[in-house]
Amino acid sequence: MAVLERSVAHRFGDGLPAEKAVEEYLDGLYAHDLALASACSAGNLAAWEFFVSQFRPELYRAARAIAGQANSRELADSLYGDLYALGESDCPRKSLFDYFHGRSKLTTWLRAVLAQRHVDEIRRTRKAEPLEDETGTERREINEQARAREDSNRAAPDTEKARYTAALQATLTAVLTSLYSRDRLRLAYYYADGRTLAEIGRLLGEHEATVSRKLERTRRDVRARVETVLREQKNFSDAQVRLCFAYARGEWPFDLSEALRSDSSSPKLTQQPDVPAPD
Amino acid sequence: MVWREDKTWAANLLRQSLRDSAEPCPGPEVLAAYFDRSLDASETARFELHLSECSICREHLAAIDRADQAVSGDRAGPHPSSPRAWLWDWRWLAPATAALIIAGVWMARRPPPKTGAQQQPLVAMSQPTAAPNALPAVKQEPGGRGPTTTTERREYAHKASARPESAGPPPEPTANEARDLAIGAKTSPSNLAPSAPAQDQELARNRVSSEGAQHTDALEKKDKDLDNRAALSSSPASGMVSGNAGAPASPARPPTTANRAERDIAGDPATEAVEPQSGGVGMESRQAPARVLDQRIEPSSQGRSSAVAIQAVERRSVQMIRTPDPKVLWRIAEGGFAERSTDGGRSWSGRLLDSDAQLTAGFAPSVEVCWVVGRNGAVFLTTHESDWRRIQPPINADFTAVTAQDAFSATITSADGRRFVTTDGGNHWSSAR
Repeated sequence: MAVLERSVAHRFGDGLPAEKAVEEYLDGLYAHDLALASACSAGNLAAWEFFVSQFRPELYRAARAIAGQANSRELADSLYGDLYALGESDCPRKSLFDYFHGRSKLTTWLRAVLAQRHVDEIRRTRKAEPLEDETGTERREINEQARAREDSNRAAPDTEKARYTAALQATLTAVLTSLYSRDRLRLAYYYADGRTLAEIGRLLGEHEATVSRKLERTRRDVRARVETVLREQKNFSDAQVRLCFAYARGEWPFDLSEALRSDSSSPKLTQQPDVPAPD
Repeated sequence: MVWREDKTWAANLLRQSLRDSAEPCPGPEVLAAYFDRSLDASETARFELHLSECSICREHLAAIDRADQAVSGDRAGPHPSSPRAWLWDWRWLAPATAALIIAGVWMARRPPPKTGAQQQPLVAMSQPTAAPNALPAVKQEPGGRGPTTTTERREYAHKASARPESAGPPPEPTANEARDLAIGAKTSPSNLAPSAPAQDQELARNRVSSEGAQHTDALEKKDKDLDNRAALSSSPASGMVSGNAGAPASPARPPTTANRAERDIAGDPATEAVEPQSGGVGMESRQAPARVLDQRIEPSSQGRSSAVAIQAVERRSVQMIRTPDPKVLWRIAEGGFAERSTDGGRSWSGRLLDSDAQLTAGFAPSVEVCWVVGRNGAVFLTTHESDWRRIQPPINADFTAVTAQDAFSATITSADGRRFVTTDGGNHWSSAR
């Protein structure tokens, strides 16, 4: 009962939640996993033996998948020790199981802890030096920015270019803010992380075709809204709007073949984008 | 095949626009709940908004997905890239399996082909010429309940098989008996039908008695298994389901000599104080059952503090290893952990020696030196409280006992009784007689 009270308190904080909300919350808990975690935290031998026999192999398997063969053992051992509550002599023992409140499966929660530890460690060791991440996004950005700087050094300076691109960027940011969170997330997975449609589908629980269709719809909506804002709020003419998009395309050269290398089922595109040529 | 459109203008701008958020990232609880689709609608929307602005959380989620894929792939069978991966493609495997199952069921249930001589039916639809071979009346429980326990069923079946012919026609079964026959003895239709030829009655009687005896034997075995399981579950695990590890569920057992010392333990459960014993210099901890204590004491009879303290000592404790100093203790626990206490067991600090190791015994000749052995050639030594090192074993065997004089001289015993001695801290071993 104390475990359930703690879980409810963690979810709803100091507020007084409605009875129905609490009831729904309790119904959605993974009670068996919560009981196991609570028993392990309390030092129950049989519970710990059960955890060791049932969950420990998966824990190490997940660590291998997250951190690779080389680092998985250390990552998993660290978590394993924290779950056991290896304490120092003068400090009270506190098991990591105390932080599990039953809102997910215990296996998923263990994977989440492993993932956070691994990613945080990777980011911590990166410091200021941009290292190649799993999708190569940062490296591509650096190369593209360098290429853009070289091109701009060679080309004649255009004082209006900065104005148009800045206006487009600001408008786009405002439009993105107004999107539904899931649509925005889909765009982030696709453009910021460079994930494939299949990966995005798995993460969002959608079919690959659904992801593609919704991405296209979101892109169309974003473009339409951006054009509307540029025309109505910034009083841009049609030609100026077209120029904005042309500058956006030219400012950061983007090689789709790199983005497509992780999605080997897609053919390389040869068609021209359907952006009207500037006047 | 999915096409990726060449929206060059969108790709880079969007990447620039979807910058990292300054909002703090939620913990693994929310991350895991989102992955398991356990968040409610508002929480999901809020978290997805954060996700869309936080590349760190997206990385976390992708890592969870990788782990999930890896574990699911291990469970699914052969690697998809193997040459015979197509065999495991569910798109054709599922309907083929379903068709095979349907065909098998049809083959099993279709009537056998008729031979030249027509078989006599086991059940005659006409009025009986003789009284049926019904089982003798069984004492009815209030409410008309028939035999339910395996013992009663066995008696029932044996009575059916042992009934002498000279006893005369048995009485007709009551409705309850007929129901219980159907439930407990795999009764052939002839036992229930009031009319059956005498020959078929004989056959049916034999079948009932043998099947009934077999079935009651099976039920009795099952009952025994359940009883054994119930006895085993009268353990801390019984408190696990209710989330209350402090409530013993099994009946009390008489205290034994082996665990009387633990019964006398008192104190706060978190402290796990252990009474120091005199003459405990270099005490060897022999291989003991996985559970230190078998005794369960009803809180009402012995006092709550004792029961709680006993449960506290139970916690993760497989082997307690004493040192010359009563306040300094070692213990090894399930999962490859070794811990040390300097305050008589009130607090512990430890190390994970090897998560794959199954440690079985230990010996501490001094407060700083401790030898630990286990299965699969596990031998560990520490000479500075927590600085453990693995010792190369003489053979790859399960070791069950160890004694030592110091950090250099020790004797380990394997499960088959062989003993090995070292005098240089485990660098070299020799067989001991």
